[in-house]
This record gives sequence, C-alpha cells and structure tokens, in this order.
Amino acid sequence: MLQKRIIDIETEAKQALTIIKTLPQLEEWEVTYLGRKSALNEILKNLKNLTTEEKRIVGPLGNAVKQRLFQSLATAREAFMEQSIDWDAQAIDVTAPGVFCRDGHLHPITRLTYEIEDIFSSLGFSLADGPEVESEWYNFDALNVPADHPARDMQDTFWLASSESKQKTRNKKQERYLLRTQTSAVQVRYMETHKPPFRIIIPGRIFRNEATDVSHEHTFHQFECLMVDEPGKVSVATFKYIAETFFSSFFGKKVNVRLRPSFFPFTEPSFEFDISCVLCGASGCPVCKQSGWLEIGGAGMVHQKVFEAAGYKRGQYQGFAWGFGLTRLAMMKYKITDIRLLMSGDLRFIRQF
Amino acid sequence: MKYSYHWLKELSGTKKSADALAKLLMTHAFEVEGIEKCSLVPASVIVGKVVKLERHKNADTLRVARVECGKKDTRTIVCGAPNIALEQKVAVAMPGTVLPGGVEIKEATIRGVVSKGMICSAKELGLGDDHSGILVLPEHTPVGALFGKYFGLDDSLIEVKILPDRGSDALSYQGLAREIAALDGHAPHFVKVIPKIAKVPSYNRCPKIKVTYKNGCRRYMGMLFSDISVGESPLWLKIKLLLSGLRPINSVVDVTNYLMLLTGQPMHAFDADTLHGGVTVRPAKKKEKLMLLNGVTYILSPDDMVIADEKRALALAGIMGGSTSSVTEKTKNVFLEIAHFHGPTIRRTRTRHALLTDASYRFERNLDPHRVKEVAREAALLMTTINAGKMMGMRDVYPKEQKEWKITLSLQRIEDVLGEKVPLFEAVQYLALLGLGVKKVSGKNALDVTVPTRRPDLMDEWDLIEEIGRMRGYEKIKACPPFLPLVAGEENQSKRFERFLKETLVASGFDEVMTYSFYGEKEYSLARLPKERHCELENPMSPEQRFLRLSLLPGLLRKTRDNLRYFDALDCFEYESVFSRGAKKGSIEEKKKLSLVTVLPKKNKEQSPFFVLKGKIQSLRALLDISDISFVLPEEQSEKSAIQDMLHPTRRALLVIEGDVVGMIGELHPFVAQGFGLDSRVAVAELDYEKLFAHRLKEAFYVPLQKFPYALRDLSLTFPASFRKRVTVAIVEKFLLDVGAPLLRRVELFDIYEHDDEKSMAFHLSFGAADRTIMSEEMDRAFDAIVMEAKERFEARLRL
Repeated sequence: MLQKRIIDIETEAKQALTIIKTLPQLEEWEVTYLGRKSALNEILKNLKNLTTEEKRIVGPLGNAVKQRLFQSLATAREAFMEQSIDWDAQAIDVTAPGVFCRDGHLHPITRLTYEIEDIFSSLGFSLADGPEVESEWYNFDALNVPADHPARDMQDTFWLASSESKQKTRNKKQERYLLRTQTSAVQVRYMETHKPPFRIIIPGRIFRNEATDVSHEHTFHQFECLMVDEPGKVSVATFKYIAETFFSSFFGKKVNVRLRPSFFPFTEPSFEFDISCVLCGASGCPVCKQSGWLEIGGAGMVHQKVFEAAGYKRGQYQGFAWGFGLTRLAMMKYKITDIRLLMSGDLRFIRQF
Repeated sequence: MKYSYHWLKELSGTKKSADALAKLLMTHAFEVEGIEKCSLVPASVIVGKVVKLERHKNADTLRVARVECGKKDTRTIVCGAPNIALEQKVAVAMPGTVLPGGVEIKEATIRGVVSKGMICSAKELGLGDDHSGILVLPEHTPVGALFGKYFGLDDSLIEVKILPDRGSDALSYQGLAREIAALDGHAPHFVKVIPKIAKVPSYNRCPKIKVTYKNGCRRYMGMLFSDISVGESPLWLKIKLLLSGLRPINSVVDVTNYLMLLTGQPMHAFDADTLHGGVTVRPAKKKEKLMLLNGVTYILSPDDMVIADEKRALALAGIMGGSTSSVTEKTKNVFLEIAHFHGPTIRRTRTRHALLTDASYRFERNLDPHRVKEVAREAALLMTTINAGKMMGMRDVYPKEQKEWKITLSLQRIEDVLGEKVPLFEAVQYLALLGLGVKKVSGKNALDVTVPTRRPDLMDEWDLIEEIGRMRGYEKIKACPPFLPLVAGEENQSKRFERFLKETLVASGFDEVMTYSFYGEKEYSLARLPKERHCELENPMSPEQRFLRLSLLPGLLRKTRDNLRYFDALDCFEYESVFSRGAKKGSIEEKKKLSLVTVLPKKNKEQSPFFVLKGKIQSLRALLDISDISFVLPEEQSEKSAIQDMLHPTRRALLVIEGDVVGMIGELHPFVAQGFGLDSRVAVAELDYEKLFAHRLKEAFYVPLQKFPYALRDLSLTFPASFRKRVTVAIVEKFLLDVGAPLLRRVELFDIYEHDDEKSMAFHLSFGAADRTIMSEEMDRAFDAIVMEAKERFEARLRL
C-alpha cells in the first residue's frame, strides 16, 4: 500500500514539475512535495510505526524517491537560472590577446647544463667549480703538460699580460695566468681538497684563442666528469657504463659508446669517444656523415702524474675523466647552425628556448 | 701528416686497401682525417719507345720521331729535345691530355708535319725543374703502360693525425708502417732490408765535432762525402717526395728530405768547402747574427743552439740551415749532419723566432737518439749511390748512450684499468708485435717489458696498458656498472642557489644573455670604469677584446642597444665572472656577478625605470629568501662601487643587506647612456653573487599569526622646503615605527609628491597588539604622539 503511494507521489510530482513556468511556482512545488508537511515526508516520519519488514521496504524506497525529487528540483532550478541571464550580452572575443605578462628565458646553454646536472645528480655526482682566470700550473703543468711540450699546441691559449703574473710559484719561476682552456683545470684544484672516492661534474666557460666563424668560437662551454676511487673500482668499463647511461638518459633512447685511441697528456689510456647517432639510430644520415657515429669528446683514465700533482701517491687511486663540448651538444640538440648565436645576446634567439 | 698508401704498403707489407687501412688505424691507433685520391700525372700519358728518328725537313732544331705506344699504335711526334735518341723509353702525352701545368696537348701540324702528341720533359710532367730535355725512362719500362700507374703516381693519400705522444716515432713512414704491420699481426717488411754499415776509411777526413751545448744536443753524427754530383734525383725518389707534398730540389737535399720522411729523422747537408775547421754545437752568442736559408737574418741569444765552425755560426740547430753553407749545384763536398737535439730547447727557439719547420716539428717531439746511427747507414748508401759521392770519414759524438728501459707490468693492473681480464698470452702477443721485449716474471703474474728507445711515450704500466687495450680493441670492453656504496652526492649549495636565482629571474620576466668576458678600451671609457683595475690579455684576438671585464654591464648595454632594434622594452640579465686587479701585485680577483638591465617601453612615461627595477629586485629578494635589502645613497657609505660613475649621480643607490654592500642600482649616467646609444628608459643593477648567497636565509621559522585585528588609520604629512631634501621615505618610515612603537605595527607609503618646494607623504598605518584588540583611544594617543613628534623634528604639518 505505502509503496504504491510513494510511487504515485513521485509520478504526480514529476508531472507537476513539467508544467511549472516560473521560479515562485518552483518554490511552491518544493514545499508541496519536499516540504516538512509534504505527503512523502509524512510517510518517512511515520516509519517507526511500521513493522520491521515494512520498514525494510518502505524506508529505502521513500528515501530514494526523495533524493530523485531533490535532483529534479536542482535541475529545474538551474534551468530557470540559466534562462534568466542574457549570455550574449556578456560575450567576449576569446581570441583577442591576453593581458601582457613578460616571460623570461634561460640561455640554451644554461638550460642544457641543468638538464645534464640533473642526470648526473641522480647518479650521485656532485657539482664542482673553478676560476676562469687560471694559473699555468692548474691548466697545464699539473695536468702533465709541461712548458715547452708540444701538447701545449693542442689548445690555443689566451695569456694574461706578463704584468699580471704572480711572482713566486712552486717551481720558483714566474707563474703566468691564462684563461682556462679546459674545465679539466678544476681537476687538481678539487683533488687537493678532497679525498677519493668522489664523483664530480664541472660545467663551465672556457676559452681558446681561435678566430670565430660559423662553427668556431673563442668562448664556449664544456663539461667535465671525474670519478675516482681505488684501483679496480673504476675502470674503462665503468666509464663506458656511465657514458652510456648518461647519453641514453639525455637523449631518451639507448645510446652506444665507441672508444677510439687518442692522446691527452692528463689521461692514460686516452680515448676519443663517439656515440651512436641519435638521429638515424646508427644506420647513417647526413648529420653523422653516413658513419652512424657522432664524435662527442675526449676521455681517459686519469694520468698518475695528475694524481701526483694533487698530492696523491702513485698507483693509490684510479679514475676516469671525460669532457665534452656543451656548446656542441647544444647545437646538436637544438639544431643551431651558427655557433656565434650563442654569445650574440640576441633576444630573438634566446626567446626561442 | 699525409702518407702515400703505396709507400706504406711497400714498407709494411700490408695487403689491405687504403680504406681498410684507414679503418684499422682509426680503431686501433690513430685518427685518420681523410683519404684523398691523387694522380700526379693524367692517365693519358703513356710509356712509348722511339723506334725511328729523322730530322725535320723544315726546321733544323726539330726532329720527327716515330714512337711505339702500344701494339697497334705507332705515331709520329715532332720533338725539339736535344737528348732524344733511338730506342729510348719516353713519356708520351696523348692528344687531349691536360698536363699538370695546365697545358692541353692537341694534335698539331708543326711546320708541315702532323704531330700526334708530345714527348714530355720532367718539368712538363710536374716531376721536377728539368726542362733541358725529355724525361728518359729506364730501359725495362714496358711500352704502352700507363705512365702514372706504372710509376706509382696514382695513389691514395691517407691523412693521419699524429698526436704529440707519438711524434717521436710515427711521424715517419717506417714508424707508421711498423704500426700497421703490428696491427696486421706481422713484422714490417722494411726491417728485412737493412743496408750494411758504410765503410769508414782509415784516414777519416770528417771534420772534428765538439758539443758544448750539452743539454741541447745528445748525439751528433757527421759524415763527409767528396766528389758529389749534385743534380736531379732519380724518378722514384722524386715521386716519393712529390706524393708527400715536398718539391724536389736537388739530389742532395732530396736525399735528406726522403730520409726524414722515411725515418722521421731530420738531417742537414752543409757544403763542406764552406766550413773552416771543426764543427761545434754551441749556444749562440749574445746578439749573434745568422742568415738562414729563408733569406732572413736572425738575432740570436745564448738560449738558442747553433752549429758553428771556427769562424761563425752556420745553422740554427734543428730548425734551419744557414744561407752561406747550403748545398748548391756547384757543391763538390758535403758534410752531412745527423743529430739528436733536445725537444724543449728546439721548441723554445722556434717559438721565439716563429720558425716552424719540418725539422723543428720533429725534433721538439724528442726523437730517438739510437735511430741516428740507423739513419746514417741509409744516408751513406744513398749519398754514395745517387750522388756518386765518396765516403771520406765519419764521427759520432754520443757521450751518454740512451739505453732501453724495463717496465714490470702486473696482469692485475691491466684488469683494474681496463675492467676486463686480458689473458697473458694475448698481452704478450700485442706487446711483442709492437716490437717490445716481453718476458714473464717467474713466480709472479707479471711481465717484464723492455721498451726500445724509439718509444719514449711508454714509460709506465699505464702506457703499456693503453697499448694492450687499443691493440685488442676498445670495442671489446663491455660497459660495466660500478659497485659502490650508495651515498648521496655532496650538495653544492652555491650552485643550487645560482640555479634558483636564474630560474626566479626568468619567472619574473628576465631573459638570460651571455656575452664575452673581454672588451676594449672603448667599452671601459664609455662606461666610465677605472682603467687601472682592468686585467689585460697578452695575446687578444683583437684590440677590441684586450681587457678582462670589470663589470658585466658594458657587454649587456651593447646587447641592449642591438636588441632595441627589434624590441621596444626588455628585461635581461647576465650571471658570469668579472675580473679585477687585486690589491696585491700579481693577484687577480675573480667574482661572480649578477647584472640586470631594464628598459621601459617608449610609451610608458609615468613610471621611472629606477623604481621599476627596484621593485623587481625587491620582489626577487622576497622570492630568494634574502633578508631585507636597503637602498642607501652612495655618499653615506665609504665603500665605492666600480660601476658608481656609470650611474646617474642623483638616481643611484647602493644595495645593502645587514650593513654589507651587495651591489648597486641606478639609472644610467646620461653621458654613458648616450655613449652606448641608449636613452633614459634604462635602469641597471649589478650585484655580488657571493654576498647574495651569504645573506640568504638558511632556515625559516614560524611566527604566530596575528589573532586580533589591526586598527587602520591614514597619515599625511607635509614637510616644509627646509626639510625637503633631507627627508626621505626611509627616514620617515623609520621615524614612524620608532615613535609609534609598540602599537604601530606596519606603515605603508601610498602617496608621495612635491609641490611649491614642499614635500608630502601619505601612509597607511596599522595599529595593534598581540594579546588584545586595542581601543580607539589608545590608537588616538599613539597617532597624536606621532604628529606631535613629526612637528617637533621635521616641522611637518598634518594634511587633512
């Protein structure tokens, strides 16, 4: 009996709702069907007088209908509100420009540096730093490049005027200053104040006395990576692993590393290292000149003479050092065709990054 | 160095093609920079035989030859050479041939006789200077053969980059051939044909040799040859020189050049008749003059080493010979020098006099003193055969013989360095192929390795491991992760702050710019920077890049002007090092600076660039968690900023944190702005990064929130003309907070203006207490006290 009554109430209420035209009528409807004195409410109020069995049926049904009627009421009310506003009068042209708020841009070299730092940080490497005006000792002698050695010709150096040089040095000669030609200059500085094991990266600005053109700059950026531990813990195989892990993470795909024999005074053995071309997947394309490989940088196992220069005992430690041109990597990654743009300060260029 | 593939093949015995050889070298030894095909003589030059020879009917000096150039090709060629004879083998350029000099050979009628080609001289083929007659080929040369191909003039040149470590051995054909043979797995061919030791006559006429520059010359060998015939070198020798990029000169000089290419050992030939007495290797005298082969007279110093006779210096040792003692066509007797000079000594001299020669390039790489004798054998052979000389004597000054040395290599070390086990027999094999002596140390897992004197780059275990690693092939080494304790990297707080700083600046609209670390006189004078604090480069790219920058601003201002061609307004920054001469002589201070430039849009007339940039710095300060920055007039501080004079004298301020000057801000001095082509819309600031970093708040602590509401009241004060200049916002704010304490909690300026010589400021004042809501009477009392005191101190009146 009560069940039917409840269903009838719902039918009647929904029927009534369809003919409502104004908001006051809707409010009246709410009082009639959902108000305190409404038939439905009366039934629910008197539930307690029913038998357990009746309660179990009538209770949920009554509440469900009540919920449904509230829902219908909300929908109807929203429809009325909607109609009451003149939306067209409020229309705007959403394609007109937004309120100007200047956005700044990091230099692509900075952006790339941070990307690289993040990868190495995740591998437990720390960041180190050193001066750009460096002594001849740290840039050359300590790295096993003595004065009057042909290896000095491998890098064209900017020297500071002799009037700027320090008078006394460890070898009692006048020590000259220069603009560092490589981030490797930081190696011995760091080793003097730290004991292995350590793994560090050194990003930075370096200088070579070379005429500038589309692919040459006298000022560019390099990245150095140095990992040192006891013999047997860091080897060429470790270097290969770290390099492959880094480049795979950097390019977001599996990258292979190839080592070729080379010579750097501060490493032994020394390598040139190539990575499998990330554009063609090592099958050959114009970027890798059909070779499948991209030349990236130099690396090697730290020369024992470098350890000795830092005050370590010969043979006590072993590690690898590698460096590559950040500038070159940036040009590769962002497809920059003229190296001079990087130092141009041209905001039309900077704002692309 | 560019190497002829044929010659390398001949010496090494390799069977590989030029391309395969290049790949082999790349993988295991040296970088190959390129391979180029090379044909010194066009393919249409054919070997012919003169089968008939007649006088030209219409010309006395010409002859008409019938030349057999192949089985079915016998042709008529008109020839004017005096040395043409029957049965000669000659080089015939067919019609259509373009000779190395650019001349095209055509079928031509010469005085009524049709000539089908040309019989060539050495000069016409680009094989020397001889134009006195045609080039006569050896009898056994086959008729019809392609001239270039038969004589090895079609070749591939392999350009190999020999780095400084291998300059002592591999800058030579023998050295590279030895390397190639080792990589191929056999001994090089050339070692099988060693010439016999030349016989030194008992009367030994060789001039006496004395070495007084002992550090500079380790070994000096001299040989005297008499009755030399100086002329054209044989074809095979010329070809070898030409393929290696050297021009044949005469048969004596050519022999020395050939041997330098072959062995890597430079040598020098003197005309023995110009020598007076014995030969001395000595330091040059102070200001001693010497004219070299290039015709230039050099003024020497005792650091330079010369070869001298009893009268004068003859040659600059190891670098270049002198003009007076050089070998010419007239030379009859030759004194030949083969020596070992000390690399650094040669390098210093050639650097000082800017004389980079093939000889100095090799000597400065420290050659093998042992090799001197081997080369002497070859030289004696060639001088007595090619130049028909007679060996008159030889002397060898070699006071301290260079011995081979031993290195003990442990197999464990190989594994430690390469990260992989290399079997003993493999290691032994690689070292032995390179010509090293190898013996197993009994009872130990180690090898005793004997290194020959030609490999001074092999000094320790690591050097040997490199040889093993590369011979074996680095591609065989498998990448292997390290086994290490899991530790976090040491955090570099400064780098982290730097990054946060840059990213915050970018988020607030600044673009990052990078500029060069140096500028010229123009920049520092335009920017009114003190010249005496600038560090100077010894060898700048150009005078415009001679000084290390003292401030980032000159560079930034230049770029700002460039950018204003495309943009109406901009905010940019640079974070980099600046340099200045330190207080102590010879000390250089390097500091990281952050420089900011703000340019307001042209149409923005109501805002002042100073305050726009100041506002940006203030919000930056808040973002970076730096404690309060105050803006102080430079006159109130003793410290002077380097960029002070660059700024507008009455629109500039020092940035001070807790009493520490961290930088400076201001609008540009009008003269500076004008100099850089900028207008008044520009404000700049330069901050010291280390100081900013030092003042950052390391920790943040919670302060309880204000529970009770503040009572607000506005205050507007007018200061009379007499106080106008002295009263600044900073002074008034401090005054208000002092006098209004403890109830006055906050002051906020909302208006400031000047009129009729008076100055007015209006503030929102917030009164309150931490423990209660204050009553309006309390606030009134505090407010009145402020007004009273303002009148007292500044003669200020309340504006209503």
